[in-house]
Amino acid sequence: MNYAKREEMWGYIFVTPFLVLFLVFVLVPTIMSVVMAALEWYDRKPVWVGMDNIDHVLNDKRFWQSVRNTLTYVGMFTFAAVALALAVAIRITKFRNQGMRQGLQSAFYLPSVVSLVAVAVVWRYIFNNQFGLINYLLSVVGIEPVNWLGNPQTALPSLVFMDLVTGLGVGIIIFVAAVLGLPSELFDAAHIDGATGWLETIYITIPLLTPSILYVAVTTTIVAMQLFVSVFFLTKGGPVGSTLTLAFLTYRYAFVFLKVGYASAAGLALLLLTLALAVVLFRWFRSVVEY
Amino acid sequence: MLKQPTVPDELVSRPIQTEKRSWRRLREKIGGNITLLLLLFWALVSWFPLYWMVLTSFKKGQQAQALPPGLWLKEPTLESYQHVLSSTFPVLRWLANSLFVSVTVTVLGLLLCAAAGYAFARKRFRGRDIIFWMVLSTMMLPGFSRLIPAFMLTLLLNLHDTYWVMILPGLASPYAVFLIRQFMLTLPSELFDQARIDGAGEIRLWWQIALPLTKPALAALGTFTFVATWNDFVWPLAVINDLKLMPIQVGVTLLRGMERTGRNDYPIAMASGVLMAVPPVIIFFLFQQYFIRGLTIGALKG
Repeated sequence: MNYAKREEMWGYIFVTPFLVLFLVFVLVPTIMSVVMAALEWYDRKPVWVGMDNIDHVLNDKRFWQSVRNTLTYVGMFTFAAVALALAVAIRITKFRNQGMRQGLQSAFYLPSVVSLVAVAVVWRYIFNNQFGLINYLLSVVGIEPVNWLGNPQTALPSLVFMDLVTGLGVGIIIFVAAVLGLPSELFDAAHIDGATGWLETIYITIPLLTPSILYVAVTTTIVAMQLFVSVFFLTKGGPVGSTLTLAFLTYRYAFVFLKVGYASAAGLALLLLTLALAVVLFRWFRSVVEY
Repeated sequence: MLKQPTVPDELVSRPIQTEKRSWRRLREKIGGNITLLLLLFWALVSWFPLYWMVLTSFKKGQQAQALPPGLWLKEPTLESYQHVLSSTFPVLRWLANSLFVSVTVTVLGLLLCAAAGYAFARKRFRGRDIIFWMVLSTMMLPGFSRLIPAFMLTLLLNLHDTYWVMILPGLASPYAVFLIRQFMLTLPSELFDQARIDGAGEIRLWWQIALPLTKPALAALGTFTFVATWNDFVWPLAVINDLKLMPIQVGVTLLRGMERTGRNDYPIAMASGVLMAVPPVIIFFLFQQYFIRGLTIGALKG
């Protein structure tokens, strides 16, 4: 056997164990997620129903409500998360001491390793309208208690707030590394021209960070589109459907109402919507940056 | 030459007067301190829920509803922990399940993905680029949309209510393969050639040369995988119904105070929260420098 043949054989040997599992648990389910939108299940047996599920989903007010809620959440959360993480990260890079910078990065990252289940339950306590901490703090300043999770107007923003408090770690770490990786000549040149502080940040740092901002925005969007755990523990989609997200709707139809066909069509909508958002973000960023 | 960055006109090539400059310094100093305060405030806010969880877990039932709420510890009690650990549910077994699944997925997953990453980086074989592109493109898809297909698939394979169903899907991580490949691409070929001349076989090249040099990426991925598997909720919630096989994240939903809360249940819920938060936090503290590095390798090279 010649060298190229041997190399090829070993390539296959190394890649096969991964590839088998990848095919079974990633690729096949992905393809199935498209096909299953056209299937209904009766006692573990699939029946082809064509466009029925999709028609059903598209004519369901709850589906459209969940799409609206999900996009509202994603819009608020992604924008705020990217902006806040960027602000925090840029401030962290102003420290000259490397240990200090790493300590701060770790400090901001730590809350995101704690499971969402634990975090969600703490927040239900903090949001409680009788003895929750937030309402207590407001009462000290003389503001009437708000039923944060029980009011359709405040429930979704409350979830956004909760996720902002815990979910910035990854973005901060990526932005800090990106800022530190920028060529220092640019900053020297700007200093000579007198750009310091805010000007430097707005005119030099942020434009140069566009690729990292895009990366964080896209990954944050993908995660935010799948908002499930905090809805599951805090609101169950209520009040009056104001926190019903696409992921929660999908889950509930599949595993509570056992309507797998409907749930598959909703799941496909989640997939397509996420892809569409990612493409929009890519396009938008490309039009903003002039290379 | 690097291109000049855009600087607003009024700042370009104008001599700065010393008086103005000292003003600017002062302003910057004050501004710097204000942003520093905001930074520390936000750090405090982001830690506060964790502090609140730990604190409340040591309170008595009624104390958790006291107004004003006690912001630090008075008369700590272990009652809630005793309640959780001595409940009729097998809480310790749930913790052990989580640990077993997380460790297995981490170790086996790293081996599988390191082998695949090695092949993609250092071997030439037909279909390599297409396969790699396929693996990459699935990284952009939301995992949640695979929930129902994967559920039906594992149901038809009779895998529900087994450890397998929690372990196998976690092993094939496109992100891990991508990261390891990027890392292994940077290794110098001379190392491999030399070892080959010295008579090392293919497995040894991988195990004794490629893997040790990829340690930082492996350590980062290992911590990620452990934390992500430990914290996974939706998948085991869907596929595990057997009380004895539940991981802690799913098990706790059955405990008092988790899904619906009665009047005195918060300390108990917080104690369950602390129990499931401790292992990832320990792992984080042990491997934090790898964590940070791992996150940035993916982002900056991707």
